[in-house]
Amino acid sequence: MVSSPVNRELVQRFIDRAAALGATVEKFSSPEQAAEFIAKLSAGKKVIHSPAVAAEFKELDRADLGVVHCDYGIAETGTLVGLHQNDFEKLASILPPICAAVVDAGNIVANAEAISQILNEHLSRNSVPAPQVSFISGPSRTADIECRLCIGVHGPRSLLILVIDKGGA
Amino acid sequence: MIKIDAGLKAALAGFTANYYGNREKSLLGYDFEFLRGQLAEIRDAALLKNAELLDRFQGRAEGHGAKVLRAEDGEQANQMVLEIMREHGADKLVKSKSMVSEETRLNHFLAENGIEARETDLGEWIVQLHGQRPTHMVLPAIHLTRKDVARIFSQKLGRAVPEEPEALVRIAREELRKEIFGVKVGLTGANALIAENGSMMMVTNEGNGRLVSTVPPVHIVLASIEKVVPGMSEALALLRLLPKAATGQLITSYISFISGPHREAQYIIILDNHRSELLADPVFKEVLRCVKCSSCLNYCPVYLLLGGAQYSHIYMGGIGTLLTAWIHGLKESRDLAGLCLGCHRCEDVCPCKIKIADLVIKLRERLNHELGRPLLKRLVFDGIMSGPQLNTVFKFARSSGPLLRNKDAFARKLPKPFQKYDKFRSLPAPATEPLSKLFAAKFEGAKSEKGRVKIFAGCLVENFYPEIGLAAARVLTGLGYGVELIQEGCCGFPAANAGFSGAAQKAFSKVLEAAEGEEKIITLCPTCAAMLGRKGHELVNSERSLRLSQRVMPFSRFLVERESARLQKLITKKQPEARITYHESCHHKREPGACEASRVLLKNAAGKILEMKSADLCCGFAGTFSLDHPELSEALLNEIIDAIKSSGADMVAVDCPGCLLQIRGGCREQNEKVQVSHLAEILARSFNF
Repeated sequence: MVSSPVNRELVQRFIDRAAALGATVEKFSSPEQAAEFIAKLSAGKKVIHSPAVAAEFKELDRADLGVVHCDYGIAETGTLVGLHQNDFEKLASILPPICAAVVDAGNIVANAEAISQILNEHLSRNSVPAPQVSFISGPSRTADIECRLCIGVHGPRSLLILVIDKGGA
Repeated sequence: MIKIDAGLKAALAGFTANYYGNREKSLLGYDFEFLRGQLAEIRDAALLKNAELLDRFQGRAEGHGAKVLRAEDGEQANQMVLEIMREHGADKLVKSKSMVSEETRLNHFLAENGIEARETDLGEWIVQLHGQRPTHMVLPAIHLTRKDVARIFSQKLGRAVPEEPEALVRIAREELRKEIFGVKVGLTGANALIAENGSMMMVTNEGNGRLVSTVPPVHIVLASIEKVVPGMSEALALLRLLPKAATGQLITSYISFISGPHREAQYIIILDNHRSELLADPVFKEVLRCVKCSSCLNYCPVYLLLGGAQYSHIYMGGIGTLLTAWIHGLKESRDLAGLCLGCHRCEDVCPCKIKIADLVIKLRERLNHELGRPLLKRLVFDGIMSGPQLNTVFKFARSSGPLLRNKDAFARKLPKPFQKYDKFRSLPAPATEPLSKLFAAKFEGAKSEKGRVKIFAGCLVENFYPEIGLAAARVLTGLGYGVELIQEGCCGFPAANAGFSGAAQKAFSKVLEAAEGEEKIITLCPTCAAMLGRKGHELVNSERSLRLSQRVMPFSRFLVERESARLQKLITKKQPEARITYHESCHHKREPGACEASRVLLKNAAGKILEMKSADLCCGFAGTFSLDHPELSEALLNEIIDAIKSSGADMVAVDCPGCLLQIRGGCREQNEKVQVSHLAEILARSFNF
């Protein structure tokens, strides 16, 4: 995948919208910086990286932190988009209580319609296992008890988005 | 017997207090009317090609290795799930939310066959542990408090648990993880089946759909036929409105697209269950546009009083009534059809532009036709209201005047067996003289420098409130219009509303005759305006009815459109002493620009309007509704009176004599000193001629 030139306005909108949904967003000017950040974050934690080795699902369930790579960001809604190749990628974003998602600023698009064709091509592939796409917008939430918003019911309580913007600050 | 549960009503009010604001916020910067017009078109186009799209979807999904099964009815779908479970040697199924599985009563069926089905959506899980059915499509456990949930959890776990929602959610997370891991088969619903790539789309917030579709090696998708869409762009168009409408979110936390089996197997069961019949029905097929967002419930005054346990067979509210009629049978929809007020609030918010209330009224017609018409209504609509008997009844009522009448124009209380109809609102006594008798003497031969207009006053003004008709005529003649009264009994709306189109046609045809001419027809009752302006034409569909519909204008809009320049000058007797609030009558709201016109006139007359909360909530009169469901009518009336009181106004303006009857009667019963006036009366008092 080749990144397009970065549209700073879209990146800012993405960051604002994601933050409004309860995600924590950090910007990095290089993948190395992001890696360093994740290394610090991982200290003393059980971490699952995606794409993961063929671990048991149960093991994912015991992890403290899931690190996932996301293919796109959608500015309109602050959404991360993952074009998954296997279940582990998907589960790394949902099972551990913290999810750290990395996205390239050059892959932040205005809206879902802008990547409709790409999504369709991915989902049309006849591969094993089945191609999947996830939209992730903020942490897992519910309002099922007295309409009170509670975070982390099935998925992560905390969603950390690492935006890598090579030209940016 | 329908009963309002005060706790549930309060919980629903608490929910909507946030939901309305969130929804509005999520739609900021979007053109809702445009987007829903687009979605309605997309849904219609998909429905038109439903069979073809299903075949294409099936081909693509099978290409991914999915097994696609078609189920004729619920029983067959349940049987398919059972066979899949047996084939994979599974005795436990984990589920994320699926309305279709509620429709087929899958959990019950599996339990009878020794298989445990476990809900994993938090609300569904709570309700399941409690042995109940969901009360709301999006918030299944809204009727339960944190105390209830804590009690249910501690029973399940055999230990005490804290009552804080956050702590309860943490417990649920742990317990549901245990439920999901180690289970072989997971079942989910689908928000769309995408024909062009064979994938299913699932929209959730909690993330349980992701777990249930990924952790167990076998994934069953249970979806109904109307979920199929041509391609990604249609699925994304749906995604644009669904979260905003359902929960007031720009987007939900998780949206998953899955194309085929991720490990062992994927089965996609596509259920018809009489939907093909609905699809073939030219009038009702738009019901299948529904994307199950439940907006209509969140704005339905009756649903907000009752919740889903009472206002449902399986599917809830007005849209549920329509789905029930096909999916579970016409008979099951009969009582539900009687619960619709016809206020049309649902139609304003539906992201698919389904004319829910209109269709419920058409369903009543079908119910009457297929299952027979209730005797009492036959007597009223066929026997009295559509013929000259109506005048005889009122003549008789007037002649027994002193027997019926209190000192203050209200009627004496009804005899005991009928007390439920007037214990919460005093009913008016018939006027000593009908409008038609008073009108001629005062206004015949008035000069008409600005042309002539006809007034259609309606039966309430004619028989109970002639002063409203006189006030309107005074304003119109004061402005220089010659006025004439169309003397005809009932416009036919009440009969049409109850599904008696024969009686409605009969009444309306007589109006058609009496209204012949070229002049504009000014209405003083929005229900008559709806009948003369739209519904009558739908019923009769002649050139004459079309011409009539084009001549009709609500009193307020006529004045604003024709006389806006002169209005300010005419008003010299302003009413600074009157602190006015305004109630939007349901049918008035449906006339484009009518409520706006009324507000302009009121501001002219009173300086300003003290807006009340939920000005557009139905007052509970709603024609025969208040006779069919006096307890619901009373509850709605009380909400209106409370809103008037909190507005600080001492006068409420209405455009509809029905609302006036209801609110004035309620205020008298409650000894509220609020004055209830028709717009025409307020204007006549403040105009200086």
